[in-house]
Amino acid sequence: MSRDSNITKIIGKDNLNKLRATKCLLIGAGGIGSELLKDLILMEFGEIHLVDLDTIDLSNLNRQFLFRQRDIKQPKSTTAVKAVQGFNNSKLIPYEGNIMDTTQFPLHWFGEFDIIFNALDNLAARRYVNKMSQFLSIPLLESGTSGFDGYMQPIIPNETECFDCTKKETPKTFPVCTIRSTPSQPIHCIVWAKNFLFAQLFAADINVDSNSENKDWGTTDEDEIKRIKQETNELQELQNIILSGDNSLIPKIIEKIFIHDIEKLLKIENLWKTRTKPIPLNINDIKTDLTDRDLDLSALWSIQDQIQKFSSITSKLMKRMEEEDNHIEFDKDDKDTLEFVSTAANIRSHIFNIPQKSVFDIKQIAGNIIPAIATTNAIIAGLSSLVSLRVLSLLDYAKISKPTDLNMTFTTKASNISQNRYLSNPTLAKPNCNCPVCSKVMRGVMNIPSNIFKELKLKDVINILAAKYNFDTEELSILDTTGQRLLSDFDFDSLDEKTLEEIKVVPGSVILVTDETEDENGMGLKPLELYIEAKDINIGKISDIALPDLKIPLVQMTTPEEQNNESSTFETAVLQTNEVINLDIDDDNEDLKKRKLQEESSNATQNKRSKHEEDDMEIIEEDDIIELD
Amino acid sequence: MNRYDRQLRLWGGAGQDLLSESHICVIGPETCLLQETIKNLVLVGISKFTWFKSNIMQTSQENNLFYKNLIQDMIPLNPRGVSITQRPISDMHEVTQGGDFSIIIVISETNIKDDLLNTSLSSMVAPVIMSHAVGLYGYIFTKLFEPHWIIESRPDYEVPSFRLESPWEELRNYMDNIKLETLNEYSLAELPYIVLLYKALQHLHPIASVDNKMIKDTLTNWYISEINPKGKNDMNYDEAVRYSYVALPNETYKVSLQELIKHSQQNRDEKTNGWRDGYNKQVIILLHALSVYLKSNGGDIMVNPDIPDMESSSKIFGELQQVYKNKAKYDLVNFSKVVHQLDESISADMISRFSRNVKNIKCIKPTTRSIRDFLTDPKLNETSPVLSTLLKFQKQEQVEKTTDNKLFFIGESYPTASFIGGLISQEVIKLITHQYIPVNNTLIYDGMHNDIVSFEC
Repeated sequence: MSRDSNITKIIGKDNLNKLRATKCLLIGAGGIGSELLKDLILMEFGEIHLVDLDTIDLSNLNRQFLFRQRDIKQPKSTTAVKAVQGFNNSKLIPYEGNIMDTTQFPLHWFGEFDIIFNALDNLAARRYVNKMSQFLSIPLLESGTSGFDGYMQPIIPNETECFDCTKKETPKTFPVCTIRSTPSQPIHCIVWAKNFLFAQLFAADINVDSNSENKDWGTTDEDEIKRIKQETNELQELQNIILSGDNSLIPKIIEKIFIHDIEKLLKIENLWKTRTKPIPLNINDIKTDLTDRDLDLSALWSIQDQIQKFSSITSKLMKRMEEEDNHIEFDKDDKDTLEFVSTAANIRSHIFNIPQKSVFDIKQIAGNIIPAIATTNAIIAGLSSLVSLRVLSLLDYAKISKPTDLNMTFTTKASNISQNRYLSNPTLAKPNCNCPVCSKVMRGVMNIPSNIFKELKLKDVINILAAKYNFDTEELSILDTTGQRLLSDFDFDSLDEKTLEEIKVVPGSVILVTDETEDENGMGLKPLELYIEAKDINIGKISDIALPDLKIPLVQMTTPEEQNNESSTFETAVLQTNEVINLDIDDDNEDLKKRKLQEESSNATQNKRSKHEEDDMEIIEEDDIIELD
Repeated sequence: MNRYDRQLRLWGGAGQDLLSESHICVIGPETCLLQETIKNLVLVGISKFTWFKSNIMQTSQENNLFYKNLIQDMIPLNPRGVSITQRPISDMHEVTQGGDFSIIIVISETNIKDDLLNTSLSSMVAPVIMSHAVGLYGYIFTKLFEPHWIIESRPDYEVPSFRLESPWEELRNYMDNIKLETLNEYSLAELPYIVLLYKALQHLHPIASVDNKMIKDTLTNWYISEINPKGKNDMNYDEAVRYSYVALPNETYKVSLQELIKHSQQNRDEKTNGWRDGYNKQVIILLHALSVYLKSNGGDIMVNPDIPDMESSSKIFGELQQVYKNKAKYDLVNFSKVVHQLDESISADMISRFSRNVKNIKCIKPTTRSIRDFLTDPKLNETSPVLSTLLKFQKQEQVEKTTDNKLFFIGESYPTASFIGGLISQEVIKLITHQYIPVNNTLIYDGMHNDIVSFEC
């Protein structure tokens, strides 16, 4: 490539040397990721590390221009790097993996980079990377698109708003009973079909130990537990049918879930006092026709077609179970799984007198599909790569005097006739002083010798922390922020005697430590967030544990009202353009008792009273508010 | 489920068909901006291009291009193949002589033929998008030679028309059969809010002019006080108060609709026969049919088959939905008859999309200024110094380097090309699909001050 390239003219020879020495991390090789990769190599960044966990799918090809038909099912990151290898001047390093995988990408790995570009497609990963950038004070360029709309936001830790300074749409949750017993909207039936039925039949671990003593039932009512256990056992039977591969038993499955289960519900009379009663399927409608027919995916099918399709697709999936190690995950692009979920949801909708949806529509809801086109990605990636020069102080022509002079950008409305604005680009706001991620906590790394995770008890950790930072052990609460789990507090100490390994506090976990003592003015010690890293010492001891030397300041513990940062208004406006619902149940760490459903950890302490009420909510996380793929 | 799944959700099958049938004319030298624009358009499914390529090429630029062989490199991006016919710039006159182009994109081209420059309101020329990007600056300008009609403008929010103030027979019967006084608090709580609003309107009857406050007051003073004292916290009551305005006759859209009809009639009288865009011609016929239909239907537009979700028992909601669907079907049949009396060739799908979107129809009037005017008008220079400098660069005129404009002198910057290329293709999509509202008509990007403005000139 020419040494007198345009980039030299833009930033000058000296800055070019700096740019050539810059290491950047690009997370996501999807729509925005492909565009960014192209822009960054043409700008001649020194090193670009590209992370993506996904493989290429046909529906990516309308915008992810580095991929070809023949690349389908290949990993995105390595394929993208191969596609540009021939004509680039940057060192490119691809990684296949989940950026939140702390084994592959520990904190110190992030520490190698000068700048991070987010080109992600889900909220969880965005928040995670935001947190890493805060831990390490690395500038982050956050971006996302949805259809004709998009946004780009530079985040300079400690100087400007972080990703979590404005409230993002909260996870949408439905009460368990709405999903299991009293659906009233198509979405309820889709959640049931995908997260409950499909998951139980095809993706659940076999032989779940339903008698486990430590199981958390979310209730103490013996009858209720009995009912749930019974239901679990019945599902087990259905799963056994699936595993048997005997497709003559398919009518039995239909009979069970669309007749018997509905009849059982009808017996609970309280449910139907103010609701329309469901009407179970007629047994005569269940036929054993397993022919696989092609039907119009954007049309609404008759109930007979739904049942017939449900049977044929179940038969197909049964066959696949044998070939696929008895485990199939729901994937919107896997036609069989999509049609199973669609037909199951529609049959249930029919039973509950709810409007049905086409497979095309259900794909969007169940698969969290956000419209995506090349043009918007090009626009956002262009703006993001351009602003990176300013963030890195390489653009002498247009220097900024302080980080808050940087601009973010979002489309006011990509199509606009009345207000003559296409994009809005306000300068960045200062961190929100109420932000639970960047402002309300102290932050540091706790190094623990890798061999003692299986000996070190939570209680020991509490004592070590208390000794180091003068915490009051009686008032200390510890929360695992990754899984949003309460580990210990003044009225919950049953995990204190467990080892870190047992409670799954592992390298990469982030714990939030709060001393809830307040003085007469309502002042207390600022909460402390610790990233747990493993120290590789041969035979480490407790005394080898290293904690950051921090002077923890006193802060107001209870704010009269959570004041909203003024910039949250527009941010919300942008993010509300999508009402996409992610239907993934997060069921990690099932065996751990208390799950916290709070949006953010620091609220946890205020909500103790509601803990039990929340236990019987089914969690359906919303994700992908804005697609950044 | 196919390759275009993610974008079909934005513009549907009809929009995608228009894109895949389109023929794009590109005029200009091979630059990053041109490559980016073509790449984006190929990705959305366009496969036919004619490129009047000028050979003026600034030195060093070749090294900065992403695609080393653009025509070859585009082919794998569309499974139907991509044909980019390259023509010498001297043949550019064909553009104004009845080429079948859907759109003409002029990218960074200096030598524009007079017949294109001077044409102002002549028909038979496709919309032209002028563009250039230099350094951290760029612009696009869209020149329309005929009105651009949009049926699916796809607003973020639409006020639903429930026709509560002028119910048809089936709706009135359904509503009247619900007797509030006979229902207990549970049954009342599961009535959709439009039932409550209908009842409030009936209660106010025969007051001639009802306003929003009167409806809200009626909900409190009559519904809550007399009918359902326990209903104050019911979700349906909440919704009724929040959406009380839907009970009022919405006259605003009728006014603008009448204007559009009037405008379309002028168009019809004058020159639709000379228009090149078949879509526009169809909209004119549909609007004419609409004016006939409105006269024989007391001014009520076709009912929309979809009603928004509302708090309700699923039974009543389902029944109400059916009432609207029945009427929508009936209206559509009648409207289709009117349309087919005027023109039998208009497809059922087009009529149905028109019917559903009557309130969203938009028209962008032709650009009065000629391209020459745009390129040379001294007044424009005064109002936008950035645009004026950009145009000087495009025309390869002398520009004096000052501290203010030195970022112009750095050749192409790839991120700028990526951004402006995205904008151009975005506008092309909107114009070809006749969906969403395009920028009318000038947009300027100033990356130095991070400023993006658009205005009509």
